Amino acid sequence: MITMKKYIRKFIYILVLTSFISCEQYLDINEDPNVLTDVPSELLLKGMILADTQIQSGHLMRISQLWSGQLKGKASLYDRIYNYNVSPEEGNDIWAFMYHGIMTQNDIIQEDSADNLVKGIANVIEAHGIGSMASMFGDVPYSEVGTAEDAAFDGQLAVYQAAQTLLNDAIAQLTLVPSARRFSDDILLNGNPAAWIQVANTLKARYFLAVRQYPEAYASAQAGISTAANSLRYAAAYSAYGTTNENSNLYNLIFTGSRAGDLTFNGCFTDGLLNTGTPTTRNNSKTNESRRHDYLTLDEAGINANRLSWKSAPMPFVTYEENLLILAETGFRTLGFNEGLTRLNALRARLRSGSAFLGNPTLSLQYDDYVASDFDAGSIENATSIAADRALLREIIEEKYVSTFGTLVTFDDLRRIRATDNDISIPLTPNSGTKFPERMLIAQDEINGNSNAPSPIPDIFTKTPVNE
Amino acid sequence: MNRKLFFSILVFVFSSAFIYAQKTVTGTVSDNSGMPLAGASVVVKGTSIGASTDFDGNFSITLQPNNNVLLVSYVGYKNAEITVGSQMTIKVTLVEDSESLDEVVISVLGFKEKRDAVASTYSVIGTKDALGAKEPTLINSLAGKASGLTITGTSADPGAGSTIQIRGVSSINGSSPLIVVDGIPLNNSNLEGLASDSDGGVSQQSRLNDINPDDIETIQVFKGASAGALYGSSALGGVIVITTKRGQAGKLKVSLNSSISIDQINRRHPLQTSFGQGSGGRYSPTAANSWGDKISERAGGEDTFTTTGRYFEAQDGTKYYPVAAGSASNVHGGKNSTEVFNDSNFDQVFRDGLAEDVRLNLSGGNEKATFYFSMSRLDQEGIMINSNYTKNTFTFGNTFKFNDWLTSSAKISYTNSKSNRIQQGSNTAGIYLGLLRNPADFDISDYIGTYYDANGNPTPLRHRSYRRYLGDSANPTYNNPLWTIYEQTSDTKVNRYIGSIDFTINATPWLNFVVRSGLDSYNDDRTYFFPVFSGDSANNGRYQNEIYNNIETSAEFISLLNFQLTDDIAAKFTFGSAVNDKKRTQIYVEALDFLYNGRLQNPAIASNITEVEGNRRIRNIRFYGQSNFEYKDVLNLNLGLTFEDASSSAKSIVYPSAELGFNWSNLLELSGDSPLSFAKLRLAYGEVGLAPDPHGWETGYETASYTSYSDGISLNAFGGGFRLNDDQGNPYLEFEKKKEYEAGLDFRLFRNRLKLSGTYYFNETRDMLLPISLNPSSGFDTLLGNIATLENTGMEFEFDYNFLKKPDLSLNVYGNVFTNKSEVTELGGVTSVDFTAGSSVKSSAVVGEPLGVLLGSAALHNADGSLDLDANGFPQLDGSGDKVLGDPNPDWRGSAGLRANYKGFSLNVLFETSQGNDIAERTRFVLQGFGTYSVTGNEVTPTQDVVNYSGTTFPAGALVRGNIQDFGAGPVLLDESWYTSLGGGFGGSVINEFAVNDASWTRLRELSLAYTLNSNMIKKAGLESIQFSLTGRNLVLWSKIKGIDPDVNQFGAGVGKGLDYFTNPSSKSVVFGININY
Repeated sequence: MITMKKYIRKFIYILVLTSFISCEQYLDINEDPNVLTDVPSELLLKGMILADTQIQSGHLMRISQLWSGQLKGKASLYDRIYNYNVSPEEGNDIWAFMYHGIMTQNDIIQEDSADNLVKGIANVIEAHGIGSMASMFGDVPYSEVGTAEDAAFDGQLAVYQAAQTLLNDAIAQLTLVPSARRFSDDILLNGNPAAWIQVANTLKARYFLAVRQYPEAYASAQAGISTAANSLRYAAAYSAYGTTNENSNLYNLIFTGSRAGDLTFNGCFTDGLLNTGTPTTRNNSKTNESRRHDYLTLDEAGINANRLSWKSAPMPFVTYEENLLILAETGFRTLGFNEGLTRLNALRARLRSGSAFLGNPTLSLQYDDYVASDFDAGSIENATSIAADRALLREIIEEKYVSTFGTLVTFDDLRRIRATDNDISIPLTPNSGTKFPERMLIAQDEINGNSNAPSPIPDIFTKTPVNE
Repeated sequence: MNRKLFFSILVFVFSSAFIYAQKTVTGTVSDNSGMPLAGASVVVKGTSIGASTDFDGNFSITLQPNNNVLLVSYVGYKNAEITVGSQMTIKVTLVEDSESLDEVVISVLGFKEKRDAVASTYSVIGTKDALGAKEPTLINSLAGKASGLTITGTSADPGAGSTIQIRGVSSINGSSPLIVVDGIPLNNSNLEGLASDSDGGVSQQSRLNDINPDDIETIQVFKGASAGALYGSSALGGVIVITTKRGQAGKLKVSLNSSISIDQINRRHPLQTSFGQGSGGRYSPTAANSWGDKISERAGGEDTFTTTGRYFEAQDGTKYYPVAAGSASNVHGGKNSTEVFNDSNFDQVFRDGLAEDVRLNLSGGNEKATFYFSMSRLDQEGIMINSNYTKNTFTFGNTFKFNDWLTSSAKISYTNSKSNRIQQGSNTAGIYLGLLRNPADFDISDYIGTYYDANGNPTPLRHRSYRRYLGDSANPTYNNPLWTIYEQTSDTKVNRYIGSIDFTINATPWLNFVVRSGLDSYNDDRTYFFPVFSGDSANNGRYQNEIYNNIETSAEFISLLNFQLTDDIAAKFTFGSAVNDKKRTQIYVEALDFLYNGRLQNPAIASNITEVEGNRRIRNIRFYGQSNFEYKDVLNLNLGLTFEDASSSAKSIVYPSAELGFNWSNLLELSGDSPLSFAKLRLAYGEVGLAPDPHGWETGYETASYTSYSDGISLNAFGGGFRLNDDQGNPYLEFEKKKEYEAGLDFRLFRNRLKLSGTYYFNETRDMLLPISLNPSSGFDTLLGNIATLENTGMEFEFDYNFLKKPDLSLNVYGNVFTNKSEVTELGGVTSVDFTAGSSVKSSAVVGEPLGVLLGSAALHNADGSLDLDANGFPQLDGSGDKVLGDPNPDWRGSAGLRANYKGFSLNVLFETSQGNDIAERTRFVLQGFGTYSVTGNEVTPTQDVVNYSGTTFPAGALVRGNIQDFGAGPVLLDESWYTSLGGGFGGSVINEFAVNDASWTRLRELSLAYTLNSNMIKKAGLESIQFSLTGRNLVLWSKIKGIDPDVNQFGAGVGKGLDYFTNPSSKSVVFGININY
């Protein structure tokens, strides 16, 4: 017994001693075996692009279409939102995509990457995102993002200005890149620096236009997208990645998913505008929109390869057509009628080529050049006999309304034109009540966590500063 | 060492030393089965000379020459008086005192203690009570059996997990109690996995159910932090201590248990049968809703078909042709039939469930070695067709006494189970979603067949659902429920091994060592198969395989010291150290886009295969010490200190605990006829914690999907890429800390016939780990940090009154009442943290509110609380964000029962109640939007002109579909325009406030009648006893909530609760059992 006790005592001493010594080592197993903690920052670009895709073409863009006469809500959530019953939660994902999906990743790229091509593209993406945020929400956090715990809400104008600065930086970065360089992780333009410079300039023009700096917008648009191939469109290189659900066109996803029957193009204002024989039709002796009407027909029934709802149909972000129409509007506003008309006809020539959109090829398409007299009182583009100047501007606005279908630009233009040129704005009527929505609701997550968020948040009928 | 030799030497040595002065006797105290009793008191009669037995029941005591009678006592046993005479070694066998059988309790470390000496709060659940419920799942059998213990089921799916909570939720990060089986922690995880979301998918199992209930000897629930402090970070949610059966010396004992249970759905959602599929009062064969034409006004007879062009041919050859939708002139369109199918549809999906349970155990042994062996098989068919659960268990345990100072005991058990679960919840491939949204006039029978398009091109194996009645597209929108049960499978197969071994070293009479180690390993292999044309984005087919491999090992070294400091003060010290290692690997394979429409359950069938691997490992170490001082039988003081460190925590932690028990009745010198038999005051303080989840220190890079609403796109689908994780890592993570104060009183009255126990507690959990949703502009979505604080305050009361006791008849009433009030006091500046996914109604933490409040969109209210109505007199949506809509936590819960024994009969009736808990009846609310819920089938004749939500006026006297309600500005008509806008449906843009209701319930939890035969005839046949029993579970339920048992939870066994969203229903059962003992 005595010797056994001794052994036991020894055993305890050894046990206690070794356990204390080896504890530290024994417990040092917390490094995460499942994740990478260091990746080349260039590999973050694609994620930024997908985050931007959701901002530009996702849920809130579809909501903007419900509020802009481009889609109708039929059932469930989209039916309610169509009738202006919307809650701040609808913006949660988009806000996360902007600030984490784009800005946090871009901070890493700008800090770590030595590649001006990637850095330049990333900056254009960020400017694209934040400009859209300003347009949808008015004042949003930007300058203090990532530095302050509760980032201040910058004024809408300041955000647009910051986006301009960022675009200038991006252009400077992209200019340093040899023009033959490409970057395959860019799923939008295959890393073509010249194309990205043009996109940056069109974006500059878009933002100048939003704050009504027409000469600056005109100047920027002249350096903007000069050929359809340089248009920024989601998944232009779709086929390179195979065709799975998760790289499909977003309209395709919603119209084949569990919310398939909740919204439709059928019966919306744009439907009536492009259709023939409707009271609001824009078809005339020089214009036949049949094929474009088919192309834009979005519905769970009738998804086909000619339509924008096809799984591989590219979705527009910043297009050659938009650039042409910015030139038309700002050319008209700065240089006058003839410049506006010339630029509008340039767009019509583009439409006439038949490559601006798909649509059922057996259906007609006709976009003859307009001449000045078409805008005379009582003429084909001026049935209501307003001043010819106004009639031309009205047509430019209407053309842009159709040509930028599927982007947030339509909603921007509607609100902007209503504020300054209400006489020639698109003749929509509110889906419910008497007022048009003027903004999206600030995201619930932001309200919850940021003491600088306005309280109460502005409702959807409150104009954003640039349209006040 | 040979025992005889040892004692001979001992006797020789002692006798030679003390032969002429005193006499020292040694002996052992055991119970009548031969189990040694540790801590029994041995006193020389008429003196203060005493000793207590060690852990092997051994004692040694010195006798004066004229004193040779020993008094041996042990709580729970009858006292024995032994005349020593000339004996030098004595064997004392104590007989159990059935009057106070409960009075021996098991400490958290697994050692026997005297009940009256324990100062912490616990409840003992008799195995008879627990097993009498005859639940196929162990957890559910604990419901209603102890105060402070809440068992919430998830659904009646066979094998489905349940939530166990002791004293409410102690942490946002789950606070299911630590389960300790024979001193070894048991994994009781309930993992959702990647293939099945918490809001929709299948009910996952709870690993506690892997135990064979027949193996259980005792169950004790330790509620307070003071008792759990020795377990440190595992015991945040309390400790449930289970001891399992061991063999006993003596003849071979055999026990055979068999039971058959018949289960039925206990609540059905009421649906309307008056109006058909469609909208605006017109029939449409493809509409989502049932706002169509009035069925009774149809022409009757067969529908008018268009037999040229496309059609669907079912497997039995039945052809379905297009039927014209209604129009303004003919609202019925081609629909003539007035048949409705609600009941037949229902009967095709549900059935009477059947569970067969057979358990056999054998035990026996001799003084040196004992063995225990058990096996069981459970075969269960659930109430939904094709849901099932099969479980086999085998256990083998033995104890072996090597010599006087070394004994060991070892046990190994193996469980395998297999189950097919049915998809449910927020999931368009789920069963209830497709069944309850299904219009009354749609027959689900022919759910699969061939679709022929207008050109005659066939598509075989098409899915026919009510929104695709011709099966004319790949997407059924919502599954036909028959497709869900017959074509989809969600299997899980579990293999589990649990082994433990412990050695007890009896070093000296006052010093013992226990070395224990355990291994708990399981493999859970889950396969989910959605063939081509299934809903839930599986139109092109989806195969998922998720395998969990979990291995936990633990080792513990305990030293136990026992001293009699003075005549009046006894002291016990326990020192221990323990290590614990938990390792889990998860392999997940997802195969999408099937290459052909086959039923092969293998990724080879698909073109798009993703594999994910997750590894998780956490270790912790503990050193603890506990001292126990006992002054006479009056004062009892326990002081404990535990040091713990875990691999996932940046800092180690120390937990103190203190318990004081004051048996003041022992000071009163109570006479035998005093009404008071026993009284004790308990005071306790303790701290426990919770270690962070492992691997949370870094912010890594991840691949990701981006979705804003039903439109997910992923990096992987574009050739891969990364993003810095949106969940920010935190290298400063440390333990959550809970401290608890409690005070309690125990009384026993009328010669122990009435037992009362009451406890008040307050606890606070600080530094709770919380992935707070950051405001997006912070640049991240979430940050895990030691942020939140939560308080719980509660009262518990238990009683048991044996009010009638005659030789043949005994009647007891028993029960408990308890309250728990929680309040979230700190959330790091964040307004709310959601525990559940989805945007409609969430169960969340909100500062200043109880944990888990229901948060969601509300109606606009005026300052006085009344509804702020629109011009038509209808409520309006409050667009300013989420509001607190209700509290799913009950104000109080309780249960009361009657136990009667008459000769061989025993009866047990147990009622359980929960009062003041709210539920978001989202199924009902959504179905209102779909126009299938019963209220939407009503018709009214307004007595005055009324307007509907869209402002249309309906004249008095004309019958109209809808309901009249007065929101405060006069009666209005609730019709399609209301139910499909703000008054029904899903999302954050409806007034979800109207979905929340009081879900208080009372139920007859258990009713069981048993008859035991132990007559001579049985004995002659060689049997000890035969028992027959008939048990009803959940037979009656009283609640204002219709359609669903308010105890179900969409979110399974998580922290979020109080939500029903197409959740699989609960059941009621009748069980017949037979038990044969040999």
